[in-house]
Amino acid sequence: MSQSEYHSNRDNINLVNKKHINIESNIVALLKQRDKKAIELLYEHYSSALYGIILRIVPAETLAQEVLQDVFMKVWNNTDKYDSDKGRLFTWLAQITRNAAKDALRSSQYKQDIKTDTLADNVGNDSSLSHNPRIADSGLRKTIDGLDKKYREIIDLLYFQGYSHSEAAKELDIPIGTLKSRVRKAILELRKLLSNELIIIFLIIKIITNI
Amino acid sequence: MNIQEYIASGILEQYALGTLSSGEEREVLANAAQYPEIRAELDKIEAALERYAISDAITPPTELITDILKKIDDTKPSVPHRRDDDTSDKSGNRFGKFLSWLPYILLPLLLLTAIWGYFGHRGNKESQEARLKLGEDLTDCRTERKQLRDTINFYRAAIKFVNDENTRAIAMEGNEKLPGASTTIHTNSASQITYFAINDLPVPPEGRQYQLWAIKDGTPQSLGVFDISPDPIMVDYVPGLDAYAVSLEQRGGVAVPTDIRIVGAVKS
Repeated sequence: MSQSEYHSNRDNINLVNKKHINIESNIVALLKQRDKKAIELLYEHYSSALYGIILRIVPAETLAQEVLQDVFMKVWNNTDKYDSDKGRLFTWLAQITRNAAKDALRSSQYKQDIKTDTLADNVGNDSSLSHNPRIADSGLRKTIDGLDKKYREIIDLLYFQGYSHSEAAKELDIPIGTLKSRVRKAILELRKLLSNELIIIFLIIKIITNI
Repeated sequence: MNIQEYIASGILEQYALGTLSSGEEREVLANAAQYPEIRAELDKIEAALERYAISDAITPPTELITDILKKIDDTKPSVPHRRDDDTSDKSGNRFGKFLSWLPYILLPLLLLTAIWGYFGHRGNKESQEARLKLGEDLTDCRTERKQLRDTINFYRAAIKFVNDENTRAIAMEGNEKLPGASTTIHTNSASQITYFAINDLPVPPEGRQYQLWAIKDGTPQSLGVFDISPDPIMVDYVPGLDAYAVSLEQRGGVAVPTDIRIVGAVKS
């Protein structure tokens, strides 16, 4: 890749980012105005990613769906707690989602402890889990699959399953210091893979538009 | 702060993963707000994790959004009601908004006026009192000046009287009962005025008073009792006297002297 091509790719990545930021700021503005359209847009753009997180923590689909509804209600009722200074909207959404899923899991386990007879129903629902369609484009999945396993499992535990550092260190049987330094390496690796992915996407778009 | 070191510490990754305490989160946000480099790095980390989540996305049942929107409609009266009021307030007529602000504008003005009035009144009162005081002082000064002028005139007159060619000074001296005592009679035959001056006289004992006598043909005539005073005392002019005398008597004086202490013979 020539130097100028590289720069134009970078510009295009920024454009992709800008487009994303526009959608995000649009949703945030609508949320602040208490416009229900915000929830529709949030659902359209983020529900599947959030649902993916929930299903990592709460395996039962009916409960996972309740959690997702709960997440959207929490977002709707706490719009004043978010502003763009806090960073990306999705980071906030993911945090709410992890907490809601963990809370639901705790209370459902509690209920299951007293009412063991309902356990069978839940298990029955769980059987449909394997049929859930993973909607991400195969390109992105392939990119993520390129991430080293030792890095993937750290991100999975912390980001998807809401483990604390000490919980994750115990789970992976590594010292907490090692875990912390591996966290940064893992995300740096992920970023490297994703930036390559974006360049590939850009090249594909360029090829298509040239035709 | 070393920004590169801060970024390398991995705290931004921990923030994006949601593993920090709320206190640590606030610290990260404060640093991100202050340093654009940190903000940019944090945004890249968050974006990468977002992509990661999308790579693992699972589509939820489509009817879920309908349920969510219905739930929002159901809760609308309780939560968003106040918000609706807010927005109507915003778009509501400006005069109404102005009126609602009016007390906040008028109250300080009223307070200021009250304070000004209070201090103004107090000031007036103070200056009025000061004027009165000055007036009194001026009256006092005038009185004192008059007294001084009178005193000066008196002494001028006294000097003039003493130096007058018709004035005679009759020295009176204490006898063996009051050695060293000294008084003087200044008498002017022309103007027929007599002054009695005390030069040196001890304070009389308690309950007693000095009395001045004019002695003519062996018979004393009272010229009155007196207290010790630095000023000359004007007494009756009596012509053709043999002598003047001062006796120590009971307070208020007597008809006939009982205890003569000072005597001054009149020389013809």
